[in-house]
Amino acid sequence: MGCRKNLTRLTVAERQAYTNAVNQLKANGGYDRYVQQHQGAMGHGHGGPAFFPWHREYVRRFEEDLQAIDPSVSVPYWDWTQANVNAAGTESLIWRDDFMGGPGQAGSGAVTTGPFAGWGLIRSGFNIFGFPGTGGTIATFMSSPNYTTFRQVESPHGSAHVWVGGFVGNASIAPRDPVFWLIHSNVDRLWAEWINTHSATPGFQPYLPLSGATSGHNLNDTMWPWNGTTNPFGVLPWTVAPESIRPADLPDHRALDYFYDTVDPECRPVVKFRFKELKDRMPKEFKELLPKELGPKEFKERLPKEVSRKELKEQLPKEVVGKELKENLKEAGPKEFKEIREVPGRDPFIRPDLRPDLSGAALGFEPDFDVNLNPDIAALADSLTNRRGDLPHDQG
Amino acid sequence: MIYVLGEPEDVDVLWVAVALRARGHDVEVVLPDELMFGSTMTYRIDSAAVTWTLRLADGRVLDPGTVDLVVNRLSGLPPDSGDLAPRDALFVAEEWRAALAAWLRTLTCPVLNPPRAASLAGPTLPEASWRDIAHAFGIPCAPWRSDRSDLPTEPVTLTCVGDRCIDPEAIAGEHTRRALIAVGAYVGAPLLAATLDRATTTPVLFGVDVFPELRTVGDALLDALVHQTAPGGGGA
Repeated sequence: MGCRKNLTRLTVAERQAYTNAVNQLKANGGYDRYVQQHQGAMGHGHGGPAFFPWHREYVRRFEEDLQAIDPSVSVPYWDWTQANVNAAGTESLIWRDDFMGGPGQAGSGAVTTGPFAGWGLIRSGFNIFGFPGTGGTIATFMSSPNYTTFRQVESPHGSAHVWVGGFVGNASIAPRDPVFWLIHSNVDRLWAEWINTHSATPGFQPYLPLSGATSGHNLNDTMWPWNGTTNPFGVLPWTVAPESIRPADLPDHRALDYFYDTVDPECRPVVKFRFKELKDRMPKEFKELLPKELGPKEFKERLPKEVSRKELKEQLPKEVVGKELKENLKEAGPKEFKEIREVPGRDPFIRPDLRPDLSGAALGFEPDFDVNLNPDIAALADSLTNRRGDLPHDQG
Repeated sequence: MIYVLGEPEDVDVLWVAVALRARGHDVEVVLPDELMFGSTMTYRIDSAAVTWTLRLADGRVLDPGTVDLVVNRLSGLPPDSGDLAPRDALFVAEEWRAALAAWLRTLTCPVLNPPRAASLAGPTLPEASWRDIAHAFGIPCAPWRSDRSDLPTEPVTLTCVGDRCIDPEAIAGEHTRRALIAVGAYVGAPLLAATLDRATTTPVLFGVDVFPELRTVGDALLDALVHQTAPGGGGA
């Protein structure tokens, strides 16, 4: 059972637990297996219909491995269509020293801060208060109940990869940077949301095609590497003990025992109001009735007798009264105000001493190319990647 | 000049380029980004001939006189990062796919593999269709079922390049090798890899891939690619 949350809602403890689990998986060699699998998945999980189910299974297994280390951990998601910053806009909630680290040093792109500073990561040196955007494009694709249209979300997802750059910007080796999992948790969430939105549409198909596509992309095709096939290479243990993992097995994420805070009631953020904030929002005529050192009991006792529950409810500002609170007021009285509830969107958990420090001196860093590539091939890859990066990627 | 079209992340692109250069051949790698962004194409049709010139942003020029072989490893195109509305972005992507497919189809030199309308990488047929076509050409095939996907017990890959079929373990007879070459010509995919199961008495075909792994084939594949550039050679 896991609740995949927007990374902006993670507590300090949750961020620490997640990064610790990832680092432990890296230390025991399990993490690099996922990098290897993704290198072989270009034709299997990319550029075709199976993009969503393939990555769903891939991320699910990664998450299971993390939960074997720490059962409290789930893979949070990065909604890259919005700025992931605190309310004041002064701190990035993703690019911080207790989470994903910095954007990469100018010039080398070396990531020298954060829990993964020792991984030799490279990023493009982006503005930590910026974000890839593409929300409009994604919304357009998600508005269609047709899977073939929806799956074009793969394109703007690519934009998120490119925006981070470095390893994440290289499809073959993107999982080398842990940001990859946050991106793909969001991709998976979008599939879940899309299904949730359109499932009542007559004739809705959560996945297409049923047949006619390249092997591995049809609804009932098994998918590499879990099916044990060896194109492009075999991966243990599945070459010995293949598993039947098909797109047909994957549309219902709830059946896979994880949930999203934007989709599933089990995972939705609880609307909380602090009593003080509620008092601040009350109309003036009610504030004047309250004693200065008002506690919940005093509030109840001091309310004018002529103030009925109905009147009180009607007088509260609409933005204060959430659905649950409204329903509670139907049955009970002002004692509901005793409940301490957090206002969504606020972030009470960022401590000033956790502000990211990106001013550290660069450490010497050499890229760690795939050991199977000879130097000439590695050099060519580097040269081509640089050439691609120098091109203006628009038609204007 | 041999041109290899593909992404830096495709290790087979890199391997082919480096290995052929090591043999002394002139090889250029052209990225899909370089085809789309900052390039200029001139295409002229007149009563005598069709001529074209493709000038890339870095100054390299491709024209019919310089291209001897194209190894096409394009599987997709990069998105436009400009400020386009989603519908416009889709339109631009489709136009580019059509333009590049048309350009590759008009090349008179061998192209491995020529694109199709639906895919720049060549024919993307379902597994059942591959087996059906292969069976029609007399290749023993594993039965295909829609309710499950059987896997070969001892898979072996044969790679066909034009008129050559590379059978590293010599498991297929001459008839099967010739038939695979014919299948490639029939579907318009002169470069393909066929997976056979040698566990059966007669090796049977399980699947065909028109975007095969190249580096594992090794020198035999390089020989076959070079053969494509010879006058009258290849059949691609």
